[in-house]
Amino acid sequence: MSLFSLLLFMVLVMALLETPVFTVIAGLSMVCLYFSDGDWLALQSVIIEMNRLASMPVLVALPLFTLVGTILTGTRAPRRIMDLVQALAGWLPGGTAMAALVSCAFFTALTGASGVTIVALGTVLYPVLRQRGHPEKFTLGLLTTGGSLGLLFPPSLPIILYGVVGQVDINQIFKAALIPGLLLVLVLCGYAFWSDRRARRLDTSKRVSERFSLASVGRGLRQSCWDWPIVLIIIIGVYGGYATIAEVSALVLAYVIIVECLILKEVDLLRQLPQMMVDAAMLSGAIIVILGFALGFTSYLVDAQIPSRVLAQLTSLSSNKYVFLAGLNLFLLVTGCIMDIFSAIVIVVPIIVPIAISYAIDPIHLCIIFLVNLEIGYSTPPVGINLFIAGLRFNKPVTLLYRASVPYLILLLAVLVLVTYLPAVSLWLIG
Amino acid sequence: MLVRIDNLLAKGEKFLVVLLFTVLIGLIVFSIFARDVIGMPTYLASETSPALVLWLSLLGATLALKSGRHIRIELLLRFCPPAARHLAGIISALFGLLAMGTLAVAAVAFCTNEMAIFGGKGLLAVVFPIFFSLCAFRFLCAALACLSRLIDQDRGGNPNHKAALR
Repeated sequence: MSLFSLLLFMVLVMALLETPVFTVIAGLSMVCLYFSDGDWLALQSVIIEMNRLASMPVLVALPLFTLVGTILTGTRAPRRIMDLVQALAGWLPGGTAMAALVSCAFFTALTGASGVTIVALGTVLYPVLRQRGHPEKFTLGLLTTGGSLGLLFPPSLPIILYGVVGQVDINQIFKAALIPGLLLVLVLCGYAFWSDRRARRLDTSKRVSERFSLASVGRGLRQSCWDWPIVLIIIIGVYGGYATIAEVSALVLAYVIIVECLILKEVDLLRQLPQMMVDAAMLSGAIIVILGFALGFTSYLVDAQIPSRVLAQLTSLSSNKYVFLAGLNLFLLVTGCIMDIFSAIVIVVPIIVPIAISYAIDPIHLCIIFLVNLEIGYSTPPVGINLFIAGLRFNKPVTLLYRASVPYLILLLAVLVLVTYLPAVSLWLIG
Repeated sequence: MLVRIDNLLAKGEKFLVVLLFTVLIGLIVFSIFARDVIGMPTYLASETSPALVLWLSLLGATLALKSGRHIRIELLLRFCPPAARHLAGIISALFGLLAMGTLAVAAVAFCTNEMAIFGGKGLLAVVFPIFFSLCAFRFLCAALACLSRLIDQDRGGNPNHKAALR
């Protein structure tokens, strides 16, 4: 084993010892760049590549949307949105579960990190769903898989990061991701509807039926009247093309600060907001610093022609696009299982994009496939991170969560197959 | 002593983070206002904000290191006993110290070059030596903290020591 291989192996072992991912990628970049040039000066290339972050205007949206999510996590906004959706859909079989799924999707779109959704909304949703007579296994499965449901809706941070890393137009990705994102939510809502109707037929005694009431819808609308404009600004900004994504993020943030600190006064401007800014900076800093180090590593991969070598290996196995897509799905599901979505994007995307393009896969279609896989990977046994977060949050054994997630995962995988093999599902809206 | 220095540094970093966030939001909102309301487009925000985000992110990342909130691949250690976790923590922190320390030295050279080439504008690169030095310092603190926990656990778990304590 050469010294180069030995050092690479040692750095990878560090990843298993739970060294922060940014340090592992920094180590990989240092080893690769040093051995490619054989010069200590090459280490400066890591910093030169990191400095490129200062010329990426799209990246501005990342900390700003993170702060939006952090502020909203600390308020009653998720509860208000849940109440409104509950008032609108609560009378349907599985209506409360549907409301929970929509709230999870809304919240994950804003926070980007699915773990946050389970932790923040789980406390609110778990008792509500159980009171409505939903079985424990159903509720746990719903909250575990629902925790990553909104990753395809604006202003999803993984989409912004993918756009930066894969050099794809972010607004186009948001448009393309809309139908697959809605499909994922609708399929799970359909399952909630079907399973609740079936349960009502078998045993009506435990079910709490709710009648549709215009008064409660009106109350819900009044209570959440300050929250829905957030969605409106994002939709008009992102889909209307009136402003850049960074401008939309700043406008949403300014709106949220004014509403939450000055109008609703749920966040103390001087005491709580600065701490929230620090929290958001920590989260976005943890993501961006990985991206910064990965830029150095990616430049090494490109120089060493690693993607083209992997491509040569793959095409020798099969030149069929559909076989490649099946293999890609398997690989990405495992990646989503073991790796955080942000790290996966910065490490895997630069390698798979050129390979996928050579298989004539549209870069935006690839992006949607990538994100749907990682969204599902979060809840895939045995090591999907959502399973462990939900286990800790609800104090349940992780094996119960494995079983609870299975029906949801089967449905999500069915959507994945549809999204993978019918590019029109993703590309229809962008023509 | 190290903990006190660490806390003091964190206070300064937090202040800078809040300041940078405020300036960033103000700058972008002002540029939208200037362009769409007053009709006087300015490129100040588009030119400055990526650099502000770089500073913000690197400072946020050092604070995340202090709070243990960095992204990790948590696969194996959750199944290991505490002693193995502490040992892994020491090895991991020493690796971080070595990597970040080396990059801190390289960053000083990089920063000097930037200032020689771009003059005052090159000062923006000062964030790199600061970031790498802070990371190296925090990894050192983490290694010592893990070592102390390992020793404490060893003392607490050792029957002879327990007897001596009694």
